[in-house]
Amino acid sequence: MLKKKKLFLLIAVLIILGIGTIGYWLFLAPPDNFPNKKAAINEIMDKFPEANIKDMQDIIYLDKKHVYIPFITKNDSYGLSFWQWQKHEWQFISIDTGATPRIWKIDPENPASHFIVWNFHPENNLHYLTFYLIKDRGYSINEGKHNYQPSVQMDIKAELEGKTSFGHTRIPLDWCEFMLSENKLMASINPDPLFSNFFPPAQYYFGWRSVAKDGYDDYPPFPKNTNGFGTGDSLIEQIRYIDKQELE
Amino acid sequence: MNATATALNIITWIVILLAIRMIYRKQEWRPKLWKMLIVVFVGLFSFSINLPFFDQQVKLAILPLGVWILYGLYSRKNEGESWEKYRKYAWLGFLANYLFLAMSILSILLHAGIYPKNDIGTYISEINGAHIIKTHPSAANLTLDRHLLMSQIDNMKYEPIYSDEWYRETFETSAEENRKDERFPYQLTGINSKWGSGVHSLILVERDGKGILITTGQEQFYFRSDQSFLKEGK
Repeated sequence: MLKKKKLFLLIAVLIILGIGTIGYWLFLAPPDNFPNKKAAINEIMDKFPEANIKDMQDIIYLDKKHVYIPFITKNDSYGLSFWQWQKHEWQFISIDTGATPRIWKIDPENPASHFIVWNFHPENNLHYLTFYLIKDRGYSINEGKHNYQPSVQMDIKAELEGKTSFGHTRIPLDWCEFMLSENKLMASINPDPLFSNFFPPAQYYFGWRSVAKDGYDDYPPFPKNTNGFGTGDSLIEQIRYIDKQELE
Repeated sequence: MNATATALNIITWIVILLAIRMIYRKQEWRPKLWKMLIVVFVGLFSFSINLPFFDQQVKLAILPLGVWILYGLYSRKNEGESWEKYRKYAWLGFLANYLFLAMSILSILLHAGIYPKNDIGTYISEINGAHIIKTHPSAANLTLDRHLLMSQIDNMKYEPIYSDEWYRETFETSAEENRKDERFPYQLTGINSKWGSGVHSLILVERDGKGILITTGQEQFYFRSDQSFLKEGK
């Protein structure tokens, strides 16, 4: 009787240890280094031969678990691929071969973890990029109740001179503050979050513009072929090109 | 955190527990405690509709789904004796929906009394970490004068919003074509609303430094002071 009990206890302990180890290994263990460029190219080309990747330019860590890899395609496009450490492996999550800037909301709740990433064809000779956080002005009068939505337009500059074709920048602190209060406000519009997961989407959006070294400030002309190829991911969004006329 | 809602929620649960005890004492049947609690909990489950009440929503229970499920489970057992045993607990669960409804109405009324909507102190209570950020290119290089804001706050006047006029003005007053002046080009952040109000708001400051536009999830409020609480430089 006693033996049986001991055996049972031993098995229970072993099972708990086993589950603990697997859980640690899957979710908590520190990430490995990203394998190498060759392996990354192979993995993408296996899934998406149409991506036509010629060369990976670099492996950039945004943090320990999030990597982006800028690349060049065989028909001279500059693109971006995004990778995440998940379940103890580097998983490929999204690709864009005609890469205009994208925002990666690594933790969607926390704007401080959001990055804007880009890779522009070097022939554009860009001097700097400007990124925008914009909310359009608006008003409404509902049963005599006025509502005025002021215009919001914040910007940051990213210098490109003498640098590589690709780069990234973190969302600045004042954007974070605005986004956090706006998100909280949107969440409080629905008084009963228990019974409905549907929140109205945020009213702000992100944009970009570029200025070349010769002063040219319209949409960058290279590459000439604009046949991009991309896959979606809810946390990596393309950001909008902002026309000069839209700025205030 | 919404203090009135939390407090009334706790009171509601205490009342439910007291009611359970009352039924338990009057009945000769002695069901197992954990079963009884589950029955009450399942009894709560209902089809309900949301009704608007003072810009919020309250839930009106209509169909006692939980009670029906329990009836289906218990009525065939022991020739209906089990259902006899648990019937009152199941209905108590359903009736508790109306207690919750009453409490949420009371909570909304109490909240409106303790934290008046058109009182700026509800939204701006603690300003030790307050500062402004420029949310529009037409903003000037000004900073917040916290002491001045603190002294102004009690005297700020509640004023009407002319949203259509303000909207139109931005298009009329701009000198250059591509430059528009925003009436509210600063955000005031680092502020706490009154303790227990659970209010989240977006607070914007007017160009002249005298006006505050507060947007909550439900509506907007506009307050004006006599003196600007923005100052030059650091």
